[in-house]
Amino acid sequence: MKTFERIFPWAILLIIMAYLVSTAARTTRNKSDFDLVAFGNLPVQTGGRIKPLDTLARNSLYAISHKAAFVEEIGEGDDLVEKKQPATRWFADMLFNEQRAAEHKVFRIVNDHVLGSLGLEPRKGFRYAYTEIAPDKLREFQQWARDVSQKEQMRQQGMKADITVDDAQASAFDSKLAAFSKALAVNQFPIARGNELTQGEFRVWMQRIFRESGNVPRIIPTAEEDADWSTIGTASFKAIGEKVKGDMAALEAVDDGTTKAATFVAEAYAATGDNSWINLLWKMRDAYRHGRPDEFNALVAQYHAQLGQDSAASPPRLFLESFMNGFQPFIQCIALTLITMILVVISWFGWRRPMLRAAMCLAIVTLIVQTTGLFARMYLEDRPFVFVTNLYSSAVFIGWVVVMVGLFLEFIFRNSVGLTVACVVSFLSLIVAHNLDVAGGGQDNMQVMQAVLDTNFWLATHVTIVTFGYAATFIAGFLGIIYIVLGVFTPVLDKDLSRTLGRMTYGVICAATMLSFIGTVLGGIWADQSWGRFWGWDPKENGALNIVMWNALILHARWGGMVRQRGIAALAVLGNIITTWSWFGTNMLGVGLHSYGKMDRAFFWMMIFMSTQLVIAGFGALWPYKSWLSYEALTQGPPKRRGGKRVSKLSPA
Amino acid sequence: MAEATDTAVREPMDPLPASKAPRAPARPQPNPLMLLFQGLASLRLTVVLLLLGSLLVFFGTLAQVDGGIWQIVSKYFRSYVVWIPFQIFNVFAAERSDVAGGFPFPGGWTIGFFLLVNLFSAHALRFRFRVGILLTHAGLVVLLLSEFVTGMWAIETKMNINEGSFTNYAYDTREAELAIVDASDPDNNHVVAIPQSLLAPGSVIQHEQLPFDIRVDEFYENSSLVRRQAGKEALATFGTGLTHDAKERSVITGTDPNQSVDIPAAYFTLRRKGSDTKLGTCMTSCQLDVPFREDWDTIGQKRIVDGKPYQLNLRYRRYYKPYDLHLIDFRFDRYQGTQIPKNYSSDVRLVNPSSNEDREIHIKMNHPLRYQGETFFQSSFTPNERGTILQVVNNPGWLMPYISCTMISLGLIIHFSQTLFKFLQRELAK
Repeated sequence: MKTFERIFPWAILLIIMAYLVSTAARTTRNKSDFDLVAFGNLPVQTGGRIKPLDTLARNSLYAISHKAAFVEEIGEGDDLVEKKQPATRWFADMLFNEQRAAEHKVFRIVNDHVLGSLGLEPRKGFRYAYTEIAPDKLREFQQWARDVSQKEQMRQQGMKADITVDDAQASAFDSKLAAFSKALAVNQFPIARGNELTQGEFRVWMQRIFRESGNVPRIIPTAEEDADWSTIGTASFKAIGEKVKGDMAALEAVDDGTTKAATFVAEAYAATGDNSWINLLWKMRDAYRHGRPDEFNALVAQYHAQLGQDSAASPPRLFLESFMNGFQPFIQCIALTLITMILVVISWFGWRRPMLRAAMCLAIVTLIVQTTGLFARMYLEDRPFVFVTNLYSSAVFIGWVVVMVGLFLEFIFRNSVGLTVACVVSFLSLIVAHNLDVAGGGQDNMQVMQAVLDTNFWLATHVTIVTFGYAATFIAGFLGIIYIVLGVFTPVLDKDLSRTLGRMTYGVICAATMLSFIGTVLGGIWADQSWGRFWGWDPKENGALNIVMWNALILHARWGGMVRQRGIAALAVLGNIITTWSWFGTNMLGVGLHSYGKMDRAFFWMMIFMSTQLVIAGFGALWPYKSWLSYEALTQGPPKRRGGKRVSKLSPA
Repeated sequence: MAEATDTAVREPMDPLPASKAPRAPARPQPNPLMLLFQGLASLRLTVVLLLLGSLLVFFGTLAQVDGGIWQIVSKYFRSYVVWIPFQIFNVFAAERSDVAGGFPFPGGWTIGFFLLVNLFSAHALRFRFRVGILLTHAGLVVLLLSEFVTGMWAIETKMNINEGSFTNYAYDTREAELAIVDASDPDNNHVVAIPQSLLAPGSVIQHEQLPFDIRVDEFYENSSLVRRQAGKEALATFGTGLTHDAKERSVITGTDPNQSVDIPAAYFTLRRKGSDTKLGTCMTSCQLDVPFREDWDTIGQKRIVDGKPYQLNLRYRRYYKPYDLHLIDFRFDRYQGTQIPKNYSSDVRLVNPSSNEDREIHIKMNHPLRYQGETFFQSSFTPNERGTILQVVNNPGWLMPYISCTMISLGLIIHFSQTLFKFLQRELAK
């Protein structure tokens, strides 16, 4: 038994490590003849940065399907097999084989009315192919979508407009159609839609690429840093322009059928050089369409080899980003914190030491995974020590800080409270992060920063410290919850534990006050540097100020003897409300709390969270002390260790 | 809240001493003044003030959903008492509706003042030399004062410069003035500027340098210019007013001060000095002024009086500088392959004949120019991207937050690290 106790934590650690390593290995392994993993590592310039096609593919598919993978039906009739395919497979089809791409069942539609208007039947999985929608039904639907968007505009201008749930769902499917065309627009090969290239069609194609040129992801690299890349359209246009030399009559051979369009285009591309990007892509397309995986893979490899030499793209960055997309370190951490939580809970009932040891090991592994993930993001964004660039990363960062602080508290107090805080708060924070990412509907979560925000110094100092302050305030609030829940609902909160918890909360609040104050003031200095106003009283600034004032209030109330452990616990729980308000509430004010849709859901959850905190704080503050299940433990018996004198030393007054 | 603190005090807890609370040592014969002093110095007052402050900030944030930020700042934070309408809580309701009523609340000045009094009394009554706390509180005093100085004396203006041209004034879009320009001297313009406060409808303006009096017929705080429909009679007899009317609009309460400014407009009648003989009526509007045009050098309602040409021009109040700022180049950088702004910057040349200065400066986001007590920030640009708009801030207290936050940060770090260090020492010794 003794040996088993000693081995147990290591065994858990080993299993988890094995799991992580195998997951990591799986994300880099290719599962089809065509090397889609290598294909996913090819670069594309979009949204102001260079990213792997893998990211674009996942985000685009996510916007349409709410999943970053899809089920492909291969074969027909009785031979039909369903195969789970990665987003890169779908995107390769969008880029090289548009007919097949339209047959993939990727549109997620759940609303009966939307389905009905499109002439579709509800089915298991709720995924539909573009080709399943009849053109006339689609036109009808688009009229509906236009009506809804008109109503949305009216509402934005403050007019009354009745937008039903069905309307909102129609609008959602309309955005999916838009996301689909946006992804398809990358495919600007001149003969993409049918194999003809008459002069008339050439003009249509030209008009199309000029119309789309602004927003289409650019796939053709340039050698200079920070320069604009080209789209397939512009590169093709240049190549064809070179070939016809301004003389449209050269297309006549195509018109009368002497030359096949595909041959004509291929010649134009070949003339730009055998190894030109556009020519490689063209050959890749050919190999992909005609099922020649070896040739395709060789071309992708050649493309990669050329990237390292003459392009602004950095192959290690592309590789790392695709790996992160697949491995999803912060999602793994959700699982890790959950397992840690289970181990901690078991430890409360028995087999304490080995369970806590194992939990400790897992918490450390979580911390390592989170740290690696955060620093990988920094490397990808090229922003050293900038942890937070948007709401998503702020939630991830809070999850990381909480584990760090929780481990520190555990190291000092060794009473499983620190571990509980680490896994529970981190778990919640990572869930919030995941939901923010999901709510983005396939948005890049490493988007570039708008002009005034584009300063690594202030992002690394002000934003990091303020968010650290949020995390600390949440930790204090959670310690408060532990105090109140243990006191009211269990008999285990004795004098000793009460005092320890009080101290932990107090210490964390001290840190929170300091961090949120310094962070807020740094924000003021940033504002003074960028528009000459140290303090502008805008909602986000005010939210931060509220946190500082609340923490200062708790400290002064304690120093003045107005509250002790119980009071601090209740006040700290209320601090959760204030921090949530500052973190999310103030953002929602900007867009108006009444706007329906994504924010509505976030607003709903925020209110739920705030209400629970209010209830808990209410129990802590108002539930008659004598009715606390821990009343006896708190009032009777001498403290096991330590006198009051020592504690008082902690108080600064 | 109150319940939480009260019950907490009643707890029969461990003997954690509340000794430092001022009320603990009961004095035998309290002097009433001393009692008041103790009250003002008490930590209870601190907690109450912090709570009120927190609530005020929260209310002031909610109010910004419907009100303009500057309105809210002066109503809530730079005031003694504020009336808080229940309407502001409407943001939490599912449907918008009008709610009547409200309640009074102490304003920012009041809370700030009592915080200062509380702080000074506390330190006077129970002075103890603890570097961290002293530094923190001293820094806090500087911070509160700095907000006071900013609220009272800071001036925010704007400056527009076109590429290849220069400007020697900044303008304030929150106030208008009527400028009468005598351009007969080719070297120097003679300008008479009448402040907005004198431009009440019906009033008559007389000035020794002007050969005419000006009667203010109409003054609109906010307006828009509209082309007059055919057949409608013109109020004006010369200038832009022949083809356009100024239409009065309600004052802007938008949340973004940078994007929406009031556009004052006015009708003036010129009369021969000291008589009722009319020389003509004109309409002039700030819509013809700097922020809305790129050729702002030659505008105004021209009238020749006594052989001299005069231009009447209602414009945003100008602050002339003893130096010129030339714009060499304005740049608007975007992220590769997008329209997302990456940086705005201006290469300017500063020429000050009085100090023999002539130098070039690069102003960009987060890197302003500080000169003669004023700071020039890259704020915006003209629609053709060939002119820059700088925000010019004159805040005598701009350095105070820097000093204050250094003090407070140091103070907090010293104090809390002492606490932490002592604590760790003891814990690890066990």
